[in-house]
Amino acid sequence: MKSISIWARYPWLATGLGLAPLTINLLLFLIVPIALMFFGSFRTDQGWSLANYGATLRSEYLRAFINTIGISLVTAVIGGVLGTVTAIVLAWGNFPRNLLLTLASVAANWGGVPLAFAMIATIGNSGWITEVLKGLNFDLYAKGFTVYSDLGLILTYVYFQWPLMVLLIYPAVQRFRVQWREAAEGLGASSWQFWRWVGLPILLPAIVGGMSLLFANAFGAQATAFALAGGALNLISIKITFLLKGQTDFNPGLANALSVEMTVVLALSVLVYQLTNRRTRRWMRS
Amino acid sequence: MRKLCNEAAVDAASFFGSLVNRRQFLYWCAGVLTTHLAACGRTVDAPVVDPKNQALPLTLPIAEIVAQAKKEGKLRAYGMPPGWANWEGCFNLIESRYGIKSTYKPEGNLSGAEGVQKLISEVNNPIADIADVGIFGPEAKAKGATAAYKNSRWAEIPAHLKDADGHWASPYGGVISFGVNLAKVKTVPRTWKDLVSGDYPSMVALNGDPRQFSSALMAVVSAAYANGGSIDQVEKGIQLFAQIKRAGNFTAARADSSGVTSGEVGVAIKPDFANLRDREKLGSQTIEVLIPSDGSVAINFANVINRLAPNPYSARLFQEFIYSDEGQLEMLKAYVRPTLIDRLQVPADLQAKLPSREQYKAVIPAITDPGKLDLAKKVVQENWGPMVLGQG
Repeated sequence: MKSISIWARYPWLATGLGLAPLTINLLLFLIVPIALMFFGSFRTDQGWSLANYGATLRSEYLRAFINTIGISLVTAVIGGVLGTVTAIVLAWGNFPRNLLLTLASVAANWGGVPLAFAMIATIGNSGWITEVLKGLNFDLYAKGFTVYSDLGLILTYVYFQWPLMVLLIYPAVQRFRVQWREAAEGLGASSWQFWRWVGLPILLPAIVGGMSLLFANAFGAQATAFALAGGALNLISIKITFLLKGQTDFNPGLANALSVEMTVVLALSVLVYQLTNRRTRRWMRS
Repeated sequence: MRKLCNEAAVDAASFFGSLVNRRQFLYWCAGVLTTHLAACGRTVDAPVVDPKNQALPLTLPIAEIVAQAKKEGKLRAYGMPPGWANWEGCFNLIESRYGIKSTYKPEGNLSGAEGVQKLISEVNNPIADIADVGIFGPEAKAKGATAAYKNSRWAEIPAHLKDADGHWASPYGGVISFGVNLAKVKTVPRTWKDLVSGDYPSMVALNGDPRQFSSALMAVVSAAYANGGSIDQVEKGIQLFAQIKRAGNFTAARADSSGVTSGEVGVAIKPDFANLRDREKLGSQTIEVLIPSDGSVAINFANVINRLAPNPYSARLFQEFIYSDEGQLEMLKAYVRPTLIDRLQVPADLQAKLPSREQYKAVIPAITDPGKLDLAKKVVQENWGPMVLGQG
């Protein structure tokens, strides 16, 4: 009798084995932590309560939330616009685009402490650009600029948001058909009219989706900002750092509550991405 | 049980605070896997009393401690990294003399608060024998984490640097100082007022945010004394920093070693030991370390014995050692200020590397009253952002 392979007899076995590592990984390092964070946010020294959430409504934290959302939006929009324009030029221009795309993917993933130090070494108080400008009689810091500020952080985030947007939007731009443009021109549309009525509406879902990911990227970031200027930046992730790693303040319950609120904002921006993604795919079927 | 789970939740929160940092994520995974998940399954509410840990007397004859400690042969410490107070030198000496092997590197970077939290959460499975808990000595005692022991030089330790019942004491400390980068700064500031009136554009920095780091908090308290305030009026210190900022001299750059080395920071306000280490690295022609004459507060670091120390005699032997002349000198090699320094014969070559003794005469003794500290923290937490950083 011919023996049947064990894989053929139990087709679910291969599927199960293949998916098990990721499932365990997600369970242990995503689901369980979220659950612990969620339950931890209701714990106080006096037992279960909503007191931690009450404390998150203090003006200190509200201001930090507003500021974090503001900075994330600004870097998402700047990175999004620059990234989209760059992607269009890359897709339609005629030059070694693979090299540039590779460089973009390197820059998009370059963040954290090294990036913060690089920014300080470039436009810090004694950074080389600062020194060069000083040599040209233009003293950045005397004019009130400092890299240890919201503006410095925005410049730092744009560094990786811009190339990340290029990578996110490039597939959509690439599938943009030349025929659409030719058709519009054939019907007498000007370049502006083409972009206003054809190009932008088609790309818009992809742009908004990409920006919502950029927003989440900036909103959840901590390491870069903390290494750049620590508490001088009024960010919610830095407030959480103070509560968890503070020598003067230690309040894990409040930190958990703030983290849950952050998670809600992050979930919303990912939801926006999912919704736009559906619309993007409608046009991009090839 | 609750506390352990809570601690895991703490990690979860810190993980979400740093979603983009992959390395931290890996550490975090390792941490959760090895400690919390296993621990959460157990019930830990009633501490098991190990017969070995029945309370030892408040004092013990040295010979007995040594004999018993040699039998234990081990010591484990929290919050005591090798270079900090020359702990490496101290632990090495204890090993070569008594054959006691110390494990202090794995948990070396725990902060004072984390160390106390860990001692409490490990009641059922005690691991550490001793811990450096920074300014959290009184809190460690209040939470029942500590054992009472009075070493043989207890009487010589100033009253404010020890617990009356013997639950904690500070073997060393530091003093808030200015580390001046002579390559960047033309006129060396000698007082806090100089930082306001002098020309130090974007050069004056703290080592970290005073809402997070206790030594930065003590710098603000020092400034308060210089500005006519005190620990009870720390807002005067915040006002002085606001003036430094208004003069264009303050920078939010961090006055850590790399900030000073790269030239981002011209005047580093931090404890004397930290500035002296920068000077050792960069040379005395580059860095001058001085104690501001109009206000400098001492800071202290409390060492405690775990109430449930697995090696209670080694823990006590360690206390005996660090308060001995030999132990105190060993710590001074890392530039921290030994508590009994005035009774110490400091070798001339080591003394030459320190700011002159005169500069320390006006130093304000370390503040260890938890009530006063809490009030100061609260004032700084509420006012530092709005008044100095322009946050809201």
